[in-house]
Amino acid sequence: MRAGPLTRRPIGTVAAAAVVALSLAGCSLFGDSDGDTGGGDGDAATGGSITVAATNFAHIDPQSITFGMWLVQMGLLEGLVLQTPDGTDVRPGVADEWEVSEDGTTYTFHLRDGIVWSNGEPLTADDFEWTYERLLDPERGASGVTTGASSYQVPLGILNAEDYNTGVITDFDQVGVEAVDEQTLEFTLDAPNPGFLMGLTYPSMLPLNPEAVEGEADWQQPENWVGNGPYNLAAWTANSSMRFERNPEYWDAENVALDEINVQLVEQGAITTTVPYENGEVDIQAIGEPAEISRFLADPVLSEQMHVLENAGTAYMIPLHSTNPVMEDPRVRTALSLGLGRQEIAGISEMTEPASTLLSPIVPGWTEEIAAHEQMWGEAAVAEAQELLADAGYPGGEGFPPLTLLAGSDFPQLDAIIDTWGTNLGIEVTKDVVEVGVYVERRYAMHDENYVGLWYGSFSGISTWPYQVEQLWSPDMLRQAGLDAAGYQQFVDAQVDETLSPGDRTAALEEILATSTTDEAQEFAELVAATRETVDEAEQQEIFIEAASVREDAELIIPVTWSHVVFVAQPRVQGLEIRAQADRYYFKDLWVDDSAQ
Amino acid sequence: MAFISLWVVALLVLVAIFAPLVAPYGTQETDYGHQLAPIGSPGHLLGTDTLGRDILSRLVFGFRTALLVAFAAEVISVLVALVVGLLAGYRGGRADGILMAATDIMYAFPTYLFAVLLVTVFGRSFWSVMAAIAVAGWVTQARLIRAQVMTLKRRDYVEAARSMDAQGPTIAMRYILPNALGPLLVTTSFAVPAAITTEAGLSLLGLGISDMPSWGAMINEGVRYASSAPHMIISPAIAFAVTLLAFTWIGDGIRDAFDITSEARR
Amino acid sequence: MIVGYLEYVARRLVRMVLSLVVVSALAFTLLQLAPGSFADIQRANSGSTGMAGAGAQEVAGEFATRYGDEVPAWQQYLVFMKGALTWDLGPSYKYPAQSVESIIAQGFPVSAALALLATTLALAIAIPIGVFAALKQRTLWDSGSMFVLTLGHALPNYLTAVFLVLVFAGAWHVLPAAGWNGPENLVLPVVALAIGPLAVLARYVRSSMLDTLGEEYVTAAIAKGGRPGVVIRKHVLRNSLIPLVTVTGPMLAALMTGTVFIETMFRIPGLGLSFTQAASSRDMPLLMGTTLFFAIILMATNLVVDLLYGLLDPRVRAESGRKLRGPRISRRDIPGADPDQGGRSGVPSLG
Repeated sequence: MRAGPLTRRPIGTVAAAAVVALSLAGCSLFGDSDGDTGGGDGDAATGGSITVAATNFAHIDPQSITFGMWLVQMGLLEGLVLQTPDGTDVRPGVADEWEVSEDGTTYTFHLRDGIVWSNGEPLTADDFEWTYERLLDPERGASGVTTGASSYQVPLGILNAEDYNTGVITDFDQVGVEAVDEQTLEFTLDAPNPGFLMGLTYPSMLPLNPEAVEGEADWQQPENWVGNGPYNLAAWTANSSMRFERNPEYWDAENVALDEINVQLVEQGAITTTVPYENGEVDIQAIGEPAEISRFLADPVLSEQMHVLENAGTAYMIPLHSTNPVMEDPRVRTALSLGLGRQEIAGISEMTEPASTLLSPIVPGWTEEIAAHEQMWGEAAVAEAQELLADAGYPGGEGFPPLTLLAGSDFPQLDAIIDTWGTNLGIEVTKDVVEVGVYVERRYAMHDENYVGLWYGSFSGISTWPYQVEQLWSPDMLRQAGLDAAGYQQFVDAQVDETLSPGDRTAALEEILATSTTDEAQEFAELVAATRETVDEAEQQEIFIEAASVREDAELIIPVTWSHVVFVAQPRVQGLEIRAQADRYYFKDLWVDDSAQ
Repeated sequence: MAFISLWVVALLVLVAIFAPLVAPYGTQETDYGHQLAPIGSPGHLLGTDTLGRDILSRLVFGFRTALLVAFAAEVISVLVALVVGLLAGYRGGRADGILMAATDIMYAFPTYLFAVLLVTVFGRSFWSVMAAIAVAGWVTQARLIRAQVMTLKRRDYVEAARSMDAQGPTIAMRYILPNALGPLLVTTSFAVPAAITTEAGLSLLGLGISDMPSWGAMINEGVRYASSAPHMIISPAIAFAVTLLAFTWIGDGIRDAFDITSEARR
Repeated sequence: MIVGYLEYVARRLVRMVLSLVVVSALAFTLLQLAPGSFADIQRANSGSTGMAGAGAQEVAGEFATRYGDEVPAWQQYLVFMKGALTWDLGPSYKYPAQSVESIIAQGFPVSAALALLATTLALAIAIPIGVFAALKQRTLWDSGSMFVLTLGHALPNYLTAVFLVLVFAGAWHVLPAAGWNGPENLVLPVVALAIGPLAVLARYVRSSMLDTLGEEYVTAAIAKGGRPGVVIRKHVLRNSLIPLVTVTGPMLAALMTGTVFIETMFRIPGLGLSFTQAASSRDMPLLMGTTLFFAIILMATNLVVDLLYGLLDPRVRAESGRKLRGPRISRRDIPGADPDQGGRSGVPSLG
């Protein structure tokens, strides 16, 4: 029996079919995203392309919070000012000059001469005013252009902006943004804000092209894209990749080096490894897995390719709201904070450190004294924690109800938290790792007495006082955490009360927060408000430091670890510096040198 | 093959039952000085994970979870399938119509879509993962039993019983059920590895069991560390493959034993 | 005969439509039960520091135009189904500028191409191996190849994919680890997808060949003086491969609808990824749209396979429509070999 001839025909057919299918696939399946991914043309200064990995997103409207808004900011749109490459100050962008009034409440920006959109039309101060009206529009959801929450940063403090946004006032003329003439834009603030210029580098403040956005076609698609950044959107295959091409109309086009940027869109939560990077498919990538970091650090070649921004993020825990009052006892919260094995938790990765404060230590002027206790971990701290727990009626953790640790995805850090609490305090904690939809609901739900504990999260952001004190762990967030079960129930009820007008609801919520929260939380909110009453920067910083310190003393939000931000970049990538803001760097600052190996 | 597999499975089941005795450490027992220790480290035969937890111990307990999920899901789906399948096959008519409709619906609802939705709704617990697997599985088995019953009920000895005034339930229980058990055993032995795979797959999508040690979670974590700490993927993957193979071969073996026609031909 | 056939097809079509209604209602109900709303999740995913509930209200009115604001859920369902009848599924929540049907139109060809290529590859390897193993029955070749195939089958495709990536991209640097830029990106995902089906198909071909070889007409043909080679080519092979249709069809459908792990791992913009995203972000129109579409694909394939089988196999054709009604089970009780019946259905559809 010969097997050979029998099988020839089916195989032949099958092979032919495969070839046909493959060639068909080749023509149409891959879209037009197959840009030239080869290196540059050898010239070190200009030309060439790079490929970067970014977290996937559904849209790129910078006015709604998604990962897309950060990518837009990296190269597709440019605001009035940009951050310096090290992220500590601002540099001119669309505006080349600006003045601040003496009382610190009026900022006047002068747009560059001859600045245009990528379609050649002039970019005017009116475009900015139109953009901000859209940003603050309380009805914006109904227009169907965006889905995420508004990315407007309330602490920016533009006069009447928040009231307009929540529907308390309805006339946009009362908002402190005005196009004085084609090239002059004026902001009026409700109080001096030292963080205002840095705040303008947040994606929500990027200009949008009114004609494109209001047009019939989808302005976020490459064929309809009108931007003002160094690059234009040339291709976008949803869930897979994006391609940027140099914008010849950009005001500083001659100083932009790279011709093309390829962006690989990686699904959030997907298994990511460094294989594509080490295989040369990706030039710049963020890495986070402790073992990967250790391996890169240990490798003499790979360690040279790491770019590290130290202590840029803080992981924290906040009590869940429950009818079980155990977390409302300040002794219990303090015991939990001091009993936390921060060193062991941070020991999991070489890129995390035990955190003594929520505030990142890279904020200029940060001191150890802001922390709630002199010793936030170690033997003495644990001893104090045990004492407090005993005081509260649970000696050695006896009789303490089982706690839940709620998280949106599983980290080894969660196990370490549970483990060290068990060892140090003798309490039982179970982790509740849930799918993200459940996580967001459970975080703010009112739980019954059997579900009591904390939720785990992390923040990172620019290292200025206003941002770290007002925006991250904001006064409202802290005061909400400080509400007891009854107060929180009132708060939730007021939020969904249909009979209240927008203005009344805001007032009712503020009333509940101000009267029912803990004294420290309210003091923190009042201190933050007080920073607005002075133009003296030194005095202002004093108040911020005090506010940050009160926030720690409240012990409503427990700092866990500080984490470094780690990027790896191929040796040919030049000019990369990592900033604390989530966009991390601008594409216009990069160039490639293929001789650098 | 089937015979060796039977021993392997027996051994694995023993390991799962006596997990606390077999595992050298507790699943949550951390060793902060010895994180990511490689295979063969003193005290940790298969190394440790990012928290210094013993991988061997976690594998043993993870297997316990996997078996528990698979068996619990199978017991539920087989019980439901038996009732429905026997009814549909023996009675025919409306019961049969309902079963066929259910089959169509479950067939049109891809298993993993259904599992994703169920776990999304009821949370990432042991029970919802188990339910997801059971719900997805019973229809196939019910159909199988129905088919068996339909062939068996025309056999002479059943006809004979019927002519002797035996009642429907009696016939079903005494004559048909024992004969339908063989194929059922086959599907069940194939369904156990399928359930383990499903659980691991859900873990990979971030929807697996989170409150117990699970192989899916271990593999998921291992994949992330594949290039930096390969020992974290190697032993779970091997254990996974051996278990799946053993169950598959047992299924093959049982099938051969029951498949008289093919037996006669060989 | 023809009338009976048409009647059978019509009955199947009616059942298909009824099933689709139930499937969509089931999916919709589950989605309603799922905790968290689309708006909440958008907010949480972006790390916003907003207060509880604030963002949700902001976005709530957004889809008022299509699904009505504050209408009962069942009315939303009716609106959706009305649109679905005319292939107008409306905008997705997550990609508001795109309609659900255009997302499906973009993603499906990608998933389908992967599935087709993987099935083709699996068939191209499985048929020769299966035939060879059957002809060399009970030799080392037979047991050896079956051993290797079971091994490939036992491992889920996501694990196979990981090892393929580690070897071909990580260690040897010959193929890209992920991406969707050109044919080179197809190799690893297609191979990873093909391995499981390959094993099932080869085992099926082998046992089918063995069955046919034992049939009386084969023995008779050889007894009448036919050369074994010709007999095998003319009779055995053809008759052994026909039943393959019944396995290949559902397998193809399962691959087309269930490549989500592979799509996520290799960053392939297919439809499986869209479904998972829709489920986790509670994007009702997209989730319903993809679920319905998947269901149609699966049921249509099933129908086509049954009809095709009836046309191909003279033995089935000779019998009445009644025989067609109890599909496949009476025909072949090799549970493990048929992905529709064997408990293994979880494996191919899981990935």
